[in-house]
Amino acid sequence: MPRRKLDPLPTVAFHILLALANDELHGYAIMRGVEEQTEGRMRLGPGTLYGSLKTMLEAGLIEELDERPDEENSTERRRYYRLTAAGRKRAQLEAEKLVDLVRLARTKRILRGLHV
Amino acid sequence: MSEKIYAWLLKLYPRPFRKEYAAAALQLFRDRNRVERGPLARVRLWVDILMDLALSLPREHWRRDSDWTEVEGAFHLSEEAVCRLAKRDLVHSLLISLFIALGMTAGWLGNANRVWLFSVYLSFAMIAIWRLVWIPRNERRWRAYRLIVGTDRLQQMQHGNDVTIFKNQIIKINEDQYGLRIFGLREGSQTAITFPLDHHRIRQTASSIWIPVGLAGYEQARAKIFGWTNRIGTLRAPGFQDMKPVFFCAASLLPAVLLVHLTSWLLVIVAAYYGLVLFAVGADFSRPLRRPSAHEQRHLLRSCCNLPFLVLLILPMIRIFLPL
Repeated sequence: MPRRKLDPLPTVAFHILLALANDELHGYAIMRGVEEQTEGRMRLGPGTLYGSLKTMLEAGLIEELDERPDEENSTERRRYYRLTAAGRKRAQLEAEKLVDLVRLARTKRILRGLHV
Repeated sequence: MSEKIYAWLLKLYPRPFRKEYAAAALQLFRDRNRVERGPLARVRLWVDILMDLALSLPREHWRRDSDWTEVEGAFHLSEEAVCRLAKRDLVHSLLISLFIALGMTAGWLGNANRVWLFSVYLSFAMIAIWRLVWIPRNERRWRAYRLIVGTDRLQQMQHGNDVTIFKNQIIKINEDQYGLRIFGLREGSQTAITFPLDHHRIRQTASSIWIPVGLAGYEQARAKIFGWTNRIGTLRAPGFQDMKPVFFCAASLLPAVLLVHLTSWLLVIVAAYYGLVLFAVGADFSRPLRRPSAHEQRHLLRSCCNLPFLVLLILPMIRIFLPL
């Protein structure tokens, strides 16, 4: 049976989806976005980042925009990516799955406090 | 300096990844290098890069080998294999011709008491020359394009309408003055999408398909086979859905194998056996040192059934299917 790509959704892919949730970003900005949203715990290297972007492009979760000049440095051209409707839906499903897990952890008294 | 080192390290990635993302990866490295200054930050940068290499290198190399497990991937890889199949290098053709010649003459010479068959060597030399000449000539007539396909379809706005062709609906690809025209058959009617050859989708790739253009008979054969496979692909037989990737992979390779290889190898083998049969029935070749005895003639055909000979004969056939 052929394995479906990104099933289950890897953590890196989920973080990239979250980074792209509100903006169209280029590779370095995605890396910074992931680093910020994980408070420095996850720094994506170029190989991991572009490998994941390729897989997500193939799965239709994100799409690439036409190359355009960097706003800060007009001599450099960058590849920008944005979330597709399918990508947004997938991120939502993944987040809901995590919420269910947290809820379960609370009912089992593993997680305490005002989480979620 | 560090940029140069990273550029060199990027060469370790597989070629498709490099072609597509090396510039972007180098740009990302440049950005980090520019922002993260100071000895500690530099050390952290290089630790990150080396960790990233250790994790992503095997994954990227593995990805290429495992793509065939996907339906779209099967299509992709098979088209790539088509290109590899048709781009036979001269050394390979020469070696395989030599293998066949050695296999057959080893059997003959050993059993015919060192009968020197000039004509056999001559015929093999002619076949080898034909193999070397024919393939490059054929190669010159066709090209392969790599075309970006984000998902499993091609889309284009035409006169305000969104035209879509799915990968498995492509029936014909032509190159003309307008560019690369991809024809698809949807619900009985033919639609076409045209890309100028310098279109950004042709230069940049995400998921991609290889399209051989101009190979005589290839498009027609492929269209027919896709017609059959699409018909068979609609079957809802139990277990068939699991077999689909393998089925489509084999189906899309079939025309290339038939047109490019089997015809040429068939001619090689037919010519070789023709020579063998002539010799076995005692035909007078140009300059045999002596005519084989009746006993030797009886054993000639049987001698060709020895294991080394069969291996040498079957090896090139296996090699044809290896790119799968």
